[in-house]
Amino acid sequence: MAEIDHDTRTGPMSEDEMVQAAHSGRLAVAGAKIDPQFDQISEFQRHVRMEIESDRNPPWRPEVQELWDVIRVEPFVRMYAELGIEQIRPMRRHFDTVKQMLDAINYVTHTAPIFRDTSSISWQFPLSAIMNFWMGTPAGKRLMRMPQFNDPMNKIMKAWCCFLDSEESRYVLNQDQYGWFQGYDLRGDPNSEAFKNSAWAYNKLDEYEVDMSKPYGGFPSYNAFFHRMIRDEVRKISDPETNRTICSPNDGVAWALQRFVQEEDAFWLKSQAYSMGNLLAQSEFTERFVGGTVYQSYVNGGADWHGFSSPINGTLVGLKLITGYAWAESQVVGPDPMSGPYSQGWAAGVATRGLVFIESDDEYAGLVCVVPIGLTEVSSLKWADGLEVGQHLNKGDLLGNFSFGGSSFAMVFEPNAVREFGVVPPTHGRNDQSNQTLFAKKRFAVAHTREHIEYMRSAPLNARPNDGSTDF
Amino acid sequence: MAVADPYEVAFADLAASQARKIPSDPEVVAQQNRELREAVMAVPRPKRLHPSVIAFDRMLQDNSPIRMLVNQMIDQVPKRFRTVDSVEELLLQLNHIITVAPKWEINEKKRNFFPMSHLFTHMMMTEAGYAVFRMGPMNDGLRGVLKAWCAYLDSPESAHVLTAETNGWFQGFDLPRESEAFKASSWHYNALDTYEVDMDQPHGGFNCFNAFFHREIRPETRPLGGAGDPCVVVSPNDGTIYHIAREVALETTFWIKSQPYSLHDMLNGHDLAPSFAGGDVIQSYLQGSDYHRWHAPVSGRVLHTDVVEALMFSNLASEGNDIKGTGSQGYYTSVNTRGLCFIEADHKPLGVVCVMPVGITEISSITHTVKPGDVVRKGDEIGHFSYGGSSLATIFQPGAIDHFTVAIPNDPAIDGHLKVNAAMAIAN
Repeated sequence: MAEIDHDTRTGPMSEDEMVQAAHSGRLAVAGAKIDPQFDQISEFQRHVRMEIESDRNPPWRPEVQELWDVIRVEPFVRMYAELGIEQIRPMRRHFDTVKQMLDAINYVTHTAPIFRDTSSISWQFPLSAIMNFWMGTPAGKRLMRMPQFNDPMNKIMKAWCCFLDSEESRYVLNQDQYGWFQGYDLRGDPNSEAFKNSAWAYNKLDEYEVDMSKPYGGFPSYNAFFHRMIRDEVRKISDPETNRTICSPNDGVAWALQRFVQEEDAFWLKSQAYSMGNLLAQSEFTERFVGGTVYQSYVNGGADWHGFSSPINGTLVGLKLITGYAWAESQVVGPDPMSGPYSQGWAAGVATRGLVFIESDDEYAGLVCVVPIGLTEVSSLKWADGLEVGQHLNKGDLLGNFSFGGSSFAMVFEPNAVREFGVVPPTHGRNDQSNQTLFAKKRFAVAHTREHIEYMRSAPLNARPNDGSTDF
Repeated sequence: MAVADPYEVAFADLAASQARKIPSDPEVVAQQNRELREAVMAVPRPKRLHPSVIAFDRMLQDNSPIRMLVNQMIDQVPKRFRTVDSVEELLLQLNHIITVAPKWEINEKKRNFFPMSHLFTHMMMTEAGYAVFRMGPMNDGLRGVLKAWCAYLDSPESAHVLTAETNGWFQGFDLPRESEAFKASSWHYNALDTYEVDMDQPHGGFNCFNAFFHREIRPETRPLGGAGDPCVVVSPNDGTIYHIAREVALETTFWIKSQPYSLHDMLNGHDLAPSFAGGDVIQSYLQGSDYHRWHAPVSGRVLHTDVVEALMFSNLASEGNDIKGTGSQGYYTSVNTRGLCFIEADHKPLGVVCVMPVGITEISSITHTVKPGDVVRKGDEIGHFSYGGSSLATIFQPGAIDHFTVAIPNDPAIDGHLKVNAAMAIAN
């Protein structure tokens, strides 16, 4: 069972694990990716362990104290928290008690993420790196689903978000070795290895609005840097005039496409079927989307733009923010080095997310729902200034930003609204690396429109153009 | 050697932990559940479910992880025992249960006095079941349903089962006391001769089913132990001793197999909890036919009363055959819905004594009939259970008790059954 050797659990294999082992082909691929990443998480956790045992250990935030109080009062929260630590394999157990785990959580919420090198994901997503092994154990998975645990955890992340919104968090926005602008001075030699591996190149900062003549690149906070604006000339809006095409609201990688989505489905199964009612949090618009299409993509680390924009021309008819579960994972996916992305389909129904309902100017495209989903870390969303229900939106208008954290993105369409998707998710195994990249404000789908449908009805069969292929 | 089916072993364990309120044969429970299902299917679907059931359904819609676990729990019940196939069916059956009062049944195999426990029995034992019954919103939703049922059992309408007819709880009242038929009757099973039942009045003088459930016992059948001696501590309840633990720790891993008492959890983090560390706990469980009121074990003044609304259908995952057959009793004291009644004893060495009734399954409702400041005498009634399973722990501070005069039943020389008001321990 070399493939599951990196599993963080102890004890005999569960049924789920056996199913995974059967998919050895997939696991062999995943295993190669996962092991070094788990080692890196271990390295990060050992570093934090040293910090919290030093005099640099900051006092607990009141929100951390609140979580501790819940653990003290709620027997099951304590039980699953303690069992979760026990169930981490000894070689991956770097925090021995729940208190130490809280020390570690508290510690990272007093820091801003740093850029160490191009492969150091743990340092870029420190809270995920702390939570990873704990949340992956059987008891940990249950813990993350308990509202009693999740609510104070959300408060801790809000407090961290405030820190990352403050000037205090700017100490990482510089050209130092671990600063996010490292490599700015190397741009003269763009083909050098040193530049290619720099923070500046990795995060494609040339494409964003960064004002290096000012301290901290002109950013008032780490979060402001995190959702920095992309330069307009880099990302021109595709065909702004027509309603025939739909633009991607976000930068990302295509992950899943499901048609004929039911109001209620078993979203917890391996296939992570979408359940329209849960995805849309039982909103009043749910009925219009039953039988429709869900398209999901994920925002890929630091280099992608962390804002999102209107995919169509239309009227904003609904806006909703749902506080959900930041750390709950599906039971049926394998060990996840990224603390979350393997469970994205499931997350669409349970995570903290926004719902933006836009009624297209074209009646056939109908209602479109944009669902930004926060995964792990801060998992917090902010709407664009002045966004109001009732206003008219043009393609590419800013809808909002993610604060620091992992993010995923679902688009929901009414049945028969979309004729064709130009960027197609992988069809075999959702955890495969896909090369199908989405760019915000760029066309990614073609809608059914009145114009088109009337044309198709009237034109003789043999006179129809071979459209589809010409759209992309 | 025949190997016992692990499911059946686990099941017997669970049945035992419910003080045999459910039969120990899983097939018997399944058969009764099938009858419930047929009864529900036999009538047209109600136009409108009870508001509490609708609220429970809405909770499932809004909490996707719980909806997932409930669906998984339904799927994980072994096929041969499965009598609920969907959430919809579960709702209909709950809706049915809360509109009926339990009836007496002479045939042991058909006895279904605790239909809600029976309905959930197999589901509670699944992986998803262990998890979901520990989740706050799930319990809040179920509590709403149970409160609705409790309201029904508190209403005069529920008294219709209190008759001497075949399925009435007074069946057997008119039979000769020595006859075989009497020995099989409800009157004998529920030992109604020892209770205050006024058969001259309609429904035995009870105005509802719950009044019958926590009926008063005839005082002469429960004489007070050590009436003049403040050192004698009496049992607050009728029951079978589950455990006597001395030098109990403030906080333990109560979820492990041995279920050590965890005072901090049991007393819900009350300020007085640390003062009990190192003290003693005696716990007993009540059978369905036992007396369902509890009395003051010592004379003193009531300091504080509280009802901690917590879990009702949660069990510790079984880890094999538990020969004592007491399942999750210890675990319940830390996690279930429970009452706390702190009494400052007049006899100084006793300090503060805590009486802790614990609800298990069904309505799990607890009523204190005393309030802080009240002076109670040893043997005074201080509270009662509404319909459902129950257990009771009495907690003493360190140095209070010299020795217990009762023992756990694995010593065959001593009867493990506690009687209310009978001597239970001697104080220092």
